[in-house]
Amino acid sequence: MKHNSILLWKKSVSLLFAFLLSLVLPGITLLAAVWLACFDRDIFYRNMAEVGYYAGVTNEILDLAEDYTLPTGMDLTVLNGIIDGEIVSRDVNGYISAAFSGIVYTPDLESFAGTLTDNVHQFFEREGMEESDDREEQVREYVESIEAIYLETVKMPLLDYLMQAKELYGKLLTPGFCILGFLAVLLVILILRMHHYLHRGLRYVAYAFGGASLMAGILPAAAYLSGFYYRIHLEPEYFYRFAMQYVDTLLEFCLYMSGLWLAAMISCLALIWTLKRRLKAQQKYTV
Amino acid sequence: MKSKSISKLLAYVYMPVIFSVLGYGILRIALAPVVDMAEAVGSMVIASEIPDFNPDLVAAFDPEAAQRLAEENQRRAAEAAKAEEEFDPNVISVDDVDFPANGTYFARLTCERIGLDAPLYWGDTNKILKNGAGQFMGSFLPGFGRPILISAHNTTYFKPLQYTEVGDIITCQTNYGIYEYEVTEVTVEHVRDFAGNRNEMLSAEEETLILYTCYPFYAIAGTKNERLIVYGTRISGPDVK
Repeated sequence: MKHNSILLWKKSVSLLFAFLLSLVLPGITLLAAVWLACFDRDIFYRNMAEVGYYAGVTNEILDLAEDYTLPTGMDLTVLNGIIDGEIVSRDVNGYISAAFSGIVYTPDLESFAGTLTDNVHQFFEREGMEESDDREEQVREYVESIEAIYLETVKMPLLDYLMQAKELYGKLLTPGFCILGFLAVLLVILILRMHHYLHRGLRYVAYAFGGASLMAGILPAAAYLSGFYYRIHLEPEYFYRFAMQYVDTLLEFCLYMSGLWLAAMISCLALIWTLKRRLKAQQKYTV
Repeated sequence: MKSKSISKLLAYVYMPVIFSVLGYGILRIALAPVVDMAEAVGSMVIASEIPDFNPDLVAAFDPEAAQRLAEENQRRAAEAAKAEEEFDPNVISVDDVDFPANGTYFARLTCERIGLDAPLYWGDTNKILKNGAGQFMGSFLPGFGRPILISAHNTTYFKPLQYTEVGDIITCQTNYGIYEYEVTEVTVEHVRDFAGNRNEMLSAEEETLILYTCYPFYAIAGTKNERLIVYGTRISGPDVK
């Protein structure tokens, strides 16, 4: 009777610890997934390249510049050669790199302004329009407006808020990892120490890994398959595609982590099976 | 023994499921305020459809449709007269009006004297203004007895407006009727004043055609702080009821 009640107590406590472990492990997963998917510079650039972000920015700048130029009566040819993909990539990456490094980036617009001003003067020459101080002032204002369009468009929207979030998250990451990691190790040790035979304790650890795999995977899988976040309206289009790729990457990382815990569970099962076989073999020889 | 092995194996399936259900349940309860707030924010930012970034401009305008409808109405009037019923051929039923969607080319603005000939779109986005004149969606369609607010670039479709004079006749041809407006005023206002008066303009109870464009016509951007506005009163065209 006493033996049975001790067994029952061990099982109950082991189950409780296994359940707690199944809560702690997805926490570690989430910390890692968010850091890698959302705040890793290489993955950031990879996502941008995958969705054609740079081409989108270039087209947006030219569209906005055309919309601004059209009411002026000038030919849209005044915008020829002011930017290209290389210049845009340089400045987009410059802003992002600087944001990740916590410094300020200022694009060099000398060539941009020079080309645009020359184009405008060539237009005046072709149209036989006389130059005057007033006209020069208007040209200067026009060029400054197009420069402002360029600067506003080339900087990724919400980049500053993202970097603030990264800084805050970075402060939570290390203590979070340490605490959750310590708890996970402690729970595993407690579970294993409660049982005479290692394979019996490992069973509960395997349950925990299975639970962690499901907890880390079910919600992200549901979100990924439903794609409800694609219905969030963001503009411009290239930023929308980047944001959706960003969320996709985060969910994929969560699913990879879920797979990792599943692999851990399978490894546990293999170990349990090996240990049981070894124990049976030992018991056979002992008998 | 076999059943014990099977139940042990099954435990590797149902225990993780139980853990995950309990875990989600506890988290849902513990984080209820956060989850509720996330749901509230989500319902505001998540739309019913994936955004369409390249809505094409749609052409719905048929220059002969108004004539066909007028002939149909004359026929209905004749039949009504025979049956001794009342029918006014100069009134269009609202059921005969196809309300345009954003980006639809639904009418044409013309004024022979000044050379105005602009396709009219519902909406006034940059894409629309590159292709014609755009009607502010908060204004009304011709025939409804309320103001009609239309803009276009002064370097393209509304370039002729610089020659408008009081007394000119501007025609707006739609699929359901041909409307003529007599210009009553041509004025220049600062863009701030014009924007400030817009609500008052649109709440008027009479049908006024209001065409506006950037002013002056030959300055380049940065100094176009004014708007040339042309007001016109309807002089012909069917009422919509």
